[in-house]
Amino acid sequence: MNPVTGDAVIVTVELFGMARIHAGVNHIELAVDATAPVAALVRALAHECPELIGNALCLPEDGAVAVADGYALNRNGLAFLSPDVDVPLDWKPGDSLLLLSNQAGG
Amino acid sequence: MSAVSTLYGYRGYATVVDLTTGEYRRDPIPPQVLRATIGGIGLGTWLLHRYAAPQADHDGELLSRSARMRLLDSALEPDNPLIFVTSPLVGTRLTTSSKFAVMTRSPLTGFIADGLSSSHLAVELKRACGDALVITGRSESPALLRLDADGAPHIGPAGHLMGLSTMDTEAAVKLELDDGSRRPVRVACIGPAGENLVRFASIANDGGRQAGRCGPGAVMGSKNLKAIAVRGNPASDPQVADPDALRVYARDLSRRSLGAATAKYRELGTIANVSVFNRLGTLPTRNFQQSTFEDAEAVSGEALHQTKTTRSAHCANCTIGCEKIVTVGKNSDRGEQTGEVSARLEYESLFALGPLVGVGDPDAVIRAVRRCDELGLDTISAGGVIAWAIETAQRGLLQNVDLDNGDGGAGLSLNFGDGATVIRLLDDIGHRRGVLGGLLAEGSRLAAEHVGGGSEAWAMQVKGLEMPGYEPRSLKTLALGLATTPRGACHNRTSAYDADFSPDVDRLTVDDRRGRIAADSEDFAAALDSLIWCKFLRRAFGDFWEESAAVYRMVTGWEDFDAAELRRAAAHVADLKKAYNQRWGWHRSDDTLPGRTLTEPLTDGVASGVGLTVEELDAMTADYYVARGWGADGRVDLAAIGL
Repeated sequence: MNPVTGDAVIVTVELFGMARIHAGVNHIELAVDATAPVAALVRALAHECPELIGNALCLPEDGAVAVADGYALNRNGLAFLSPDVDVPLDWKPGDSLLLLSNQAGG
Repeated sequence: MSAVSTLYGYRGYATVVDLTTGEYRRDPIPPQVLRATIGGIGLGTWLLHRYAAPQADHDGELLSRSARMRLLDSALEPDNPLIFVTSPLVGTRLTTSSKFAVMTRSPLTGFIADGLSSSHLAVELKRACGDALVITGRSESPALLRLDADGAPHIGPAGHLMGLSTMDTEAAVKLELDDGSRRPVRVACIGPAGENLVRFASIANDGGRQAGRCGPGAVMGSKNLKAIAVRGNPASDPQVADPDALRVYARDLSRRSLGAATAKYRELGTIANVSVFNRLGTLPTRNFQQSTFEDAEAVSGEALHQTKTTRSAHCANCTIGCEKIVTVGKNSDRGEQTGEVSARLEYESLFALGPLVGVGDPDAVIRAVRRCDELGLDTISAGGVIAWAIETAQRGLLQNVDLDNGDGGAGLSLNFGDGATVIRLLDDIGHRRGVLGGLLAEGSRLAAEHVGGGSEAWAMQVKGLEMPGYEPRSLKTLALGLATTPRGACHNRTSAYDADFSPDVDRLTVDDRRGRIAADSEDFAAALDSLIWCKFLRRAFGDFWEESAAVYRMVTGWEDFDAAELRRAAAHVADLKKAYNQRWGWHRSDDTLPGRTLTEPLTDGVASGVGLTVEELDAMTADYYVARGWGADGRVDLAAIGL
């Protein structure tokens, strides 16, 4: 896990579907840099909740942690994030990152 | 089109049964029609045109309310065909391919009713009836239509089945026709709701699967047809052109169907939507007055998975197994509701009989879903019309006489969150019992027109079909899809929500790309629904169009069929559907959303303050018509598409 080096904020990762079942909790709070890219949050999440590796999170061959196929990320219940665009984000206290299925149908 | 002497993948004909005369015939379906419409809903729409009643001549008319009412009622006349349609993939054993379409003109909307259902019945229909079974006329007395291996129909009495639930009807028919064979008959039937011509009655098959929306069960009931029993001859299965290639492909697709692309459906099922939609402010609650539900967690897929007895079930030839059968035990203290009950729980049923009517008790929701399946009621429309009734009563617009449920009492007290009353109302609706049961059996649009007082604004329907569990104000692309899809407010004939649940668009605002996106998503759905693949498989494909065209070539042997032709076929299906509605009086004003959606911003959740204006919807709709190549008035040129 990368240490927090800049201004830290608490971001709540909200878990949905089988991610919640595997983790055994509805949400996890992470302390991250205020400008952390999504990849840094995903790494921190894997560190805090290794139960997610192998289902909602995966370990590609390059050793990085990634969101698994079939899952999506959403910020604050509003904007869906592109998993392959990893620009620094401006996190604010109270922000949430939602980890949910990318299959919306029903 | 290449010339092939053998028809692969298809039977090449429809079996047509006239219940009035008892006669039947086999009508050939030209190969070029099969290729242009594929099967399922595409072919079914073409068949609806072919067998349409002669009064289908209202293109361009602006109908008065009384004229529209006559057309709605005429859907229950003997000349409205009820059509079961298979597809070229049925019988191939490709995963999720055992599906069929149920086509008719809806007594709820007056327009096209294009349902889908699944499992063994699809295979037997193709064996016994060919590519389609067309039922016209009306039996003099309750009838059981039996179709055996020779395809000849046998019309027998069904008086002894009347009043039975869908489950009991299926069991009774199977027992009655049991000949000791290892292959049981497969049954499609209606429950009391269909018998009583409830406008949103469903047709059940294979242990409770439902062709639910738009009231095909009422059409079946209007024909005095209680059940259809089918057992074909496996030797009748059509050959496929390249069985070796198809076998290899089938194995690979099955493998992919067990991967991440279908994980949600395999693990929690569609009920996983509840907690997500609640967080995203798109869970319609208390008749769309809210977009979040305070008890959402209690009825969420995650909670049900952890607290209830749940098992998965599969349709025939399906590797996904999205069905979650949830059982509640003998822990209720509500009198008649006690006892162990299992229900096939989908998100839409859960939403409609839970948050939409304010019920957060999962046991009550599951019992209500089960009751709908027994009665043969579409759960979405049932929840929708009950939600309308509760709000209307709370606004003082339903008087005591309206609330009379026929038991001589003071009438019902309607409140959101009262699960016991919801179940009571379902029974009243299914049996058209009392003034209120009869009123609600008409659906929310007609009920609101009857009651008046402005209640049309909160009758949450499009073209008469009640809204599914997606809040359109916070899903703008889907809002357009719901407004324009010929079926009415249906999320399955447009998959426009896929864009809203992605980084591709801002789901809370509108822009000029939505018309194209909605048209493309509708074409995608049309291709899925015509081939017929299960929608839950859609992310398991690489390039859907290329891959599906390749499968079609393997099955049919039409080697020059490519992805571009499949796209054209899908767009042609959209044209055919629109044309069908035009013939039955569609007007530009039918492509809209309920008044509430267009006048009231959301008041809760992450999308609080977000609304959708008439101008925004009109602009998106105009873009959609351009994307479709239709006129500015939204009409398709009937002559240009060969009608």
